[in-house]
Amino acid sequence: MSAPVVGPVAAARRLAAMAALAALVLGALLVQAAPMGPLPDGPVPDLAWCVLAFFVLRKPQAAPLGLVALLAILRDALLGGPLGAGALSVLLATEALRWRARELPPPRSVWGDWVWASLGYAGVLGLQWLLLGVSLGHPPALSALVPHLVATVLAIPLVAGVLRYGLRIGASPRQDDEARRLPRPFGRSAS
Amino acid sequence: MAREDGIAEGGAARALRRILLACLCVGLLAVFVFWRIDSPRAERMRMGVVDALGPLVEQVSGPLDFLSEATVDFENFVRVYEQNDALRREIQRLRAWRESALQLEQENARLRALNHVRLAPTLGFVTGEMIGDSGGPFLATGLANVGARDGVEDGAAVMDGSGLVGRVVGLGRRASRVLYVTDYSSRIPVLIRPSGRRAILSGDGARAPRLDFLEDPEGVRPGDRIVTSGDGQVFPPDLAVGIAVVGPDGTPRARLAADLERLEFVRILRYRPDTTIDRPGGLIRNGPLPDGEPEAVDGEEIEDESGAAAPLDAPSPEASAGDATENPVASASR
Repeated sequence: MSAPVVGPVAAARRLAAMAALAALVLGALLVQAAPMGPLPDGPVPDLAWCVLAFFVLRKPQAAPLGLVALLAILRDALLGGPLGAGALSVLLATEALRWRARELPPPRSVWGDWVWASLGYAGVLGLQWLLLGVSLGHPPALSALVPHLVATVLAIPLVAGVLRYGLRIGASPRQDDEARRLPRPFGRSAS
Repeated sequence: MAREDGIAEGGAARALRRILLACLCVGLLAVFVFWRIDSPRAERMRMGVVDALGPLVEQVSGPLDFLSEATVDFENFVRVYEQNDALRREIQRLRAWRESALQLEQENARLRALNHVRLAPTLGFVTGEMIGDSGGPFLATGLANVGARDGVEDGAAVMDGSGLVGRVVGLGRRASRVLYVTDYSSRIPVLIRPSGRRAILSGDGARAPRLDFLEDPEGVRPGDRIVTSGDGQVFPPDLAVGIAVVGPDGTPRARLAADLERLEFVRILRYRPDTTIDRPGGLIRNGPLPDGEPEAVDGEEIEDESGAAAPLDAPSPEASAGDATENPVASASR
């Protein structure tokens, strides 16, 4: 049994994917943090979680443990949630998703991934609520968490669709090759 | 061995990964404990990150603001005739109010001159733009684009054009985090007019915060004005908060004067109450004693003629039954 040789191209690809994850999560956090101004107040979906869950499920090699922890603590700092508790819950929830990605290699059911990502977010909210309560903080009523959970659950497939079909992240090399071989409307073949 | 997707499967790698995960979990739990124990310092660290990312947040919020304002402009355009009528009626009503206000102002000035009233110094404030929201269910906070370099202080009251919005809980150099009055951890002492009853305005995530510890709730009627009481000396007194209403659950609540949903610009007050009593009254000596008398500092014991020791500032038995352990200066200043 020999260890696989990771070439410089593969390493560069992985780094590029990691940079893409960091940039996308940062972008999602900035959008989440931006005030919606005069628009009606409503629950804001956790876009950063949607991006993280997609990467961990569909491109886990681009979401190493350290990077996920770093982005999660950045999320806590920027959005003002319970510092540390949010990052811890995100880290544990992404590990659950990673376990699914490891145990059930692609192709997997998209619906199954959606359910797992949704359950993961429920876990993120639940653990933060629990930690705040245990530490004698002021956790919100559980009913107040439901709109955020619903908004995020609905946003997961939208974000996944944008990342998968808009930015072509998470497609396997074989799928990419097939996509390249598809006839283009103007007859120009992709390199 | 590693699979095609790059997930390491080797026993050693897996063990290493588990150790790393455990270390990260313990570290993040420690960060949470630190935040709970020493929140101001943790908030300062958090505001350091916000300071660094503040310009990015502003750049992203710009186009989103434009989109949301375009939506509102379109709605206004659709309802322009209706709004025009409403505005005309409002102007007529305000003219009458202006006359009354001018008369009251003159009367006030005359009465002050008669009574030699010394008013508190005018409050200073700095105006900033809200550039960020928490966007999460656990905290109702926002980010303003003014910070320590603009003279903002931690704990300062934050208002919009109509009423109290909240207070500053995190202070960076260029940005500050505002805890809204609707947040679960917000508690503000208020006064209800005209009855003069006191209460604590407690945020519970609802748009209309609760009025807790209300003295004699029967004496408060819906529509009564709610202002800050100034107790605790965090907020100045008489800042408009809203009006009293009865919530759906029958509890007294406050309908806020501030419009938290359409918060664009805020005023952060610079308020430092000048009521600290920093020296004792004339009955207690604070300087060196005249010649011939034994010199002692506060709290030091001197011997009387009988040789018995007694502290200089020993409270009377009656007083010691109450708050003998309290600092007299702090007690006086409360």
